[in-house]
Amino acid sequence: MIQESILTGTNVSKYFGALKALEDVHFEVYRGEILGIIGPNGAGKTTLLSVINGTLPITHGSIFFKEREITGFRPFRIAELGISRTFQIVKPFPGMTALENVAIGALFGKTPEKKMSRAMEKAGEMIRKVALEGKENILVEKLNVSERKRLELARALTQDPEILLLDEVMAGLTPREIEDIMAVIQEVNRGGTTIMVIEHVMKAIMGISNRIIVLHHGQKIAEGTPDEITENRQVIAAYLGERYSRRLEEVSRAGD
Amino acid sequence: MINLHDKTYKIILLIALVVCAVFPYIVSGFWIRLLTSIFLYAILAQGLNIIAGFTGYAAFGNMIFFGLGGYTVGILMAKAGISFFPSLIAAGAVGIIVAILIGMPLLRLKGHYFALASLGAAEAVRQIMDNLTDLCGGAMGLTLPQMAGKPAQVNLSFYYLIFILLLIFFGATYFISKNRLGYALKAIKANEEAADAMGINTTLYKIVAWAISGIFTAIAGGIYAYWFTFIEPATVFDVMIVVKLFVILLLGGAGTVMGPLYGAFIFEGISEIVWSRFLNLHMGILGIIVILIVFFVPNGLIDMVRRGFRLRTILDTIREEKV
Repeated sequence: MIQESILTGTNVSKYFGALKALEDVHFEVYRGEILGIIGPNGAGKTTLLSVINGTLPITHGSIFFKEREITGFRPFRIAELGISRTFQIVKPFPGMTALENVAIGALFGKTPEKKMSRAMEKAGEMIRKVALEGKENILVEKLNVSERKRLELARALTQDPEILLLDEVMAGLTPREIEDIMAVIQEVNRGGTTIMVIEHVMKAIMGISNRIIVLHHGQKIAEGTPDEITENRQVIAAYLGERYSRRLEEVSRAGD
Repeated sequence: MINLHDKTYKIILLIALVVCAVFPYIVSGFWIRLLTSIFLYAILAQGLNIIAGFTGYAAFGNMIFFGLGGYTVGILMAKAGISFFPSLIAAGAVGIIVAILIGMPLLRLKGHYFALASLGAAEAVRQIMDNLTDLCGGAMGLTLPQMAGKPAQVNLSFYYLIFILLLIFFGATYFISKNRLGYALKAIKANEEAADAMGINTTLYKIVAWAISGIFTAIAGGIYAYWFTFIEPATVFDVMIVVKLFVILLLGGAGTVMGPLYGAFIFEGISEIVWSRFLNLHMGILGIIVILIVFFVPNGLIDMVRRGFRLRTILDTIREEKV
């Protein structure tokens, strides 16, 4: 398979004062893949997504979308180019119904629907896709966490993005719901959407990702297929500590 | 339950419309003037509603458009001898232009900072007008030519002019609220960061909202100037105008299409019935009303009617809002 790069980051860095949330991260996202991003808390995963979609200004480094530099673009411009995201701490539009929330996604972005009725129709389809049917006319503030997460996904999906950035859409969901969401994500991916996904649910992210990037203290420490990542010594050290990783190695050597 | 799509509600609105259309032939001059001023307040409140109610930006300096609209009509009529309607259109244009010019820097600010900065801008314009003695009489004010005709006829003309503009502006607001623009504004109010990430050019839409607010308010200011035939900076750039409009929005419900009209009725009703008896205390009573509304019916009296006058719902609202 020839891999065509759709999103490239070079030397991507984000500092909050003296804190280096991201430092010289290079990454490459290939068209049509699901790229998982993992790392311990505070590794810089969400910061990376925020820098890509422009929510946070980049400190230095560059980002290219289909070979066009998009560094420093405002979020709405990035969304219009075809990169949509969800937020880890969901950001719905309170005071509006679930359907209206999703319809706003359809009204703007890469394929803006100018007609209200069409936007509502499309929103309805997406709501069914994430299994929220029956909740269309309920105010978002009345939805529970799991429903809000799925609503956030529906709102991003309705923009038909080329790249979908998902920030922990499965956190707080039951195993059954996680399976449903995984199926939705894979279906969207089969439709041609490239996906970058942050997830703490290991089974889920290892199951759906083609490749995985591991961040630790703002730096990329590993990159590879899910299998390569689970056996990577540095990754185990980052998650479980240096001592555990050394012991694991001794055990496996003794086993040989 | 009252719902805009409800059939009975539509019929009630239609009857009210007909009553308002024939109203001047039924009652005396006092009532006509009262209703005219209620409608004028409703238009002004709708102007504020677009930016503050729908978009969530508390434009405390909105009297800038009221004053400049009044002065545009005043200067064009009194100094340049231009007739009323072209002057009024010019006032609307001034409203748009000023909103864009001031909005471009100010609407990058958020929340309270914008409220304060807009207040500062209005104060600056008032100071300028105070000192433009040659052009508009400065602090001494400006006298406009009177509309020709008997007083009763003049009253009638203003009543219908303002009534028709009310219908146009409220119709426009209804249309906006149901379309892409309205959803962009509501999204900005609900969560500006998410709106931006969804592809909404927030700065642009906020400026558009303020420009619409500017047209409504400036045209109302222009009519006010011609109606009262005298304006001075201290009156038309008075921050109390905007404070009253906020009370109207609180009473009627901010961010709803009809809220400004209901609010204006309730507000003027209170002011006519109660305040005429407490002439010296009416500012104090205004303050108490604001506090009571904010505490007990933060979504407006109309919202309370809509949910039924149950004490439970009021208590629920307080709990939801405050916790």
